[in-house]
Amino acid sequence: MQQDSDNIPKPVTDDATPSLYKTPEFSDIASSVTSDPGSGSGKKVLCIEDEAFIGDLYKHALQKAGYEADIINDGKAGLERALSGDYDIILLDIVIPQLLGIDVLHELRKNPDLKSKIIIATNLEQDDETRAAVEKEADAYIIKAEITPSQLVEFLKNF
Amino acid sequence: MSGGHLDSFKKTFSLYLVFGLIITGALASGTAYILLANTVLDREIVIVIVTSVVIIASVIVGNVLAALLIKPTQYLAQAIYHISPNEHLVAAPNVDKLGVGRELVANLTRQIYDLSSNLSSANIPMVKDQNSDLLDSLPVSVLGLNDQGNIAFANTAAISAFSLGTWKDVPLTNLLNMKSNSIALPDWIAQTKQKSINATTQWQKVEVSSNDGTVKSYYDVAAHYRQKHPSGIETLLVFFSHYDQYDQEETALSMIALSVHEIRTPLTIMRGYVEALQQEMAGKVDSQTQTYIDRLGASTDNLTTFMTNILSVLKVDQNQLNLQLQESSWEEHITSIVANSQNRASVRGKTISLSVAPNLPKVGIDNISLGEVITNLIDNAIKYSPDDKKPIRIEVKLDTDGAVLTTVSDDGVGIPDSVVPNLFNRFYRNHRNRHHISGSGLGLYLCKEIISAHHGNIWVKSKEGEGTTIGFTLMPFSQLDEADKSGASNGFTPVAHGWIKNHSMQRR
Repeated sequence: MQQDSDNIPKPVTDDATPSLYKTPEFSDIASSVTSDPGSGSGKKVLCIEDEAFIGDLYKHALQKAGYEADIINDGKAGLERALSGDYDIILLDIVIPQLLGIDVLHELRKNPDLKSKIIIATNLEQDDETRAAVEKEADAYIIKAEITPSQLVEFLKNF
Repeated sequence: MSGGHLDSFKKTFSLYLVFGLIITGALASGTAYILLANTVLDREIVIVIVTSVVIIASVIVGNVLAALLIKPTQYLAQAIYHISPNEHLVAAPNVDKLGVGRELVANLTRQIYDLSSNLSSANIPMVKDQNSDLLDSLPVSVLGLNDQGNIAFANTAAISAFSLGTWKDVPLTNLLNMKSNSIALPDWIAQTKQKSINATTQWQKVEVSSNDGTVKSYYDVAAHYRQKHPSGIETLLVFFSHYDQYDQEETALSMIALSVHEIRTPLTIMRGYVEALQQEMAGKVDSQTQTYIDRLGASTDNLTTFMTNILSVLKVDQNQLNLQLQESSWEEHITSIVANSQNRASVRGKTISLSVAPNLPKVGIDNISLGEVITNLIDNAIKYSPDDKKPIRIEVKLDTDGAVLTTVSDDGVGIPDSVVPNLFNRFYRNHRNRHHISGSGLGLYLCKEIISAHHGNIWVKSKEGEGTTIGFTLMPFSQLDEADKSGASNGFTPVAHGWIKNHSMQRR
């Protein structure tokens, strides 16, 4: 059932959520080509991503920009690692083995002490209601196919 | 009530009368003054001329006033003939066209119709017990609404299909949410109320869901409206279930969404490695290899745009392309979109020039959707100007009516006149023109839907062999904000081409 209030395209002026989908800075980010080495300044990123090539690309781009990056390729192990609290940013795919990204997100949000920023990075097309719900729960939501690794790195500067 | 209208009609008519007399008097005195001051005519001749002027003016004024006075009578006569059983070929009068006495005639016409309706149905109330039984035995859902839009009648099938608990005298919109691709039911009722006494319409593929979330299905809906019907039921709704057919369509759409996910994964990888190649190989490979890498990059970008188009069109079709209109600087936004498109242009040997007029107002836009519009228009301009080296020109300026106008122009092949009218339709509608115009045909359709949902207009100007200009307007945020406020009254708002609940009046 569609909740009407979720569908109202009303002007949004105060937009505190640093979501890639919503922020006007999206296109600025998208125009960047090279990432700035050192912008990560040692921040730790956990990438829960089952597609090895994508994991490899992200790891490469993040490390080049000065981040520390770990790649985990299933939801269950990813959740355990994320709960360690070692990471500043968690990049979370939705369609992953063992435990879906959405469930990982729910579990992580049960821990108010966890300070990591959680960014959903998926290629799954969801209806607006579902997406809005996930966007609300996560810190940001991006479609992987729409940005390149260096644009992702540029986006992570916001966190 | 009609007394008030009568008084107001009398006042208006008196005003016209006084105005007519003043004009006649002024003409007479003016003519006399001019003749006496500037000519050497005899007094008698002057008197004859002035008298003639007065007579002519009086005849004209008299005719105009007579026409004004007789018009309401004609309308009333037409209304009476309209309901007369022997004269049913006479159309109902369109009271909106009447100048003087519109309220009076509208009121009297309505009373005439009421009287007629009461007389003809005095002995056969609509939902008597036996009729109710009849409707209850129908396998289709039937709902009756009173003049407030509250449910006055529901047959057994409707109560069961929509899981109606307490429904008597509850507003329909409190219980059911109806989404369709055309005008929303409350808007249709409101418009019909203004214009007609009786009207019928139907909607196809209406998604009907209960507001508590327990029911969701698809129907074709027929509506019949009878103003002030003695049964108390003003609007009768009949729901024909087409769940099986429409659900299959929805399943097909879900399949496409799933396929898109599968295509996006390799696309992400391709874009990632092309970017890595561009970064790692810069300056290390010969220019031809660099060109190949750039072309690969531009092609993966094109594929990304195409995937986005497919998904957006699906959302348009499902009324799910919901927009977040934000106050934005269009100059900043379009500058960065154009910067992103330069690589795609340059691999085709094109450049893009952008000129933005100073001091433009902030616009209310959905950044992502407007990015799709500009990207599609640039891609088209690149595609259709393959042989010339002139830049693609993008200009942004203030339109005469205060909207922000953006035009994208090329000096390419242009568009045949026969294709122009269908240009903003979906691809399958003008597939015969595929040989003239390549491409999916989704892009401009999507542009139109997105611009319409922004309350803007989109148009094309093209001459075969000389080039094409496509322009669209965006409303300043300040105006949009006002439209939002004023439109919130009846509760409907535009998605891409449909309507969903919340505000209205701002679709066009």
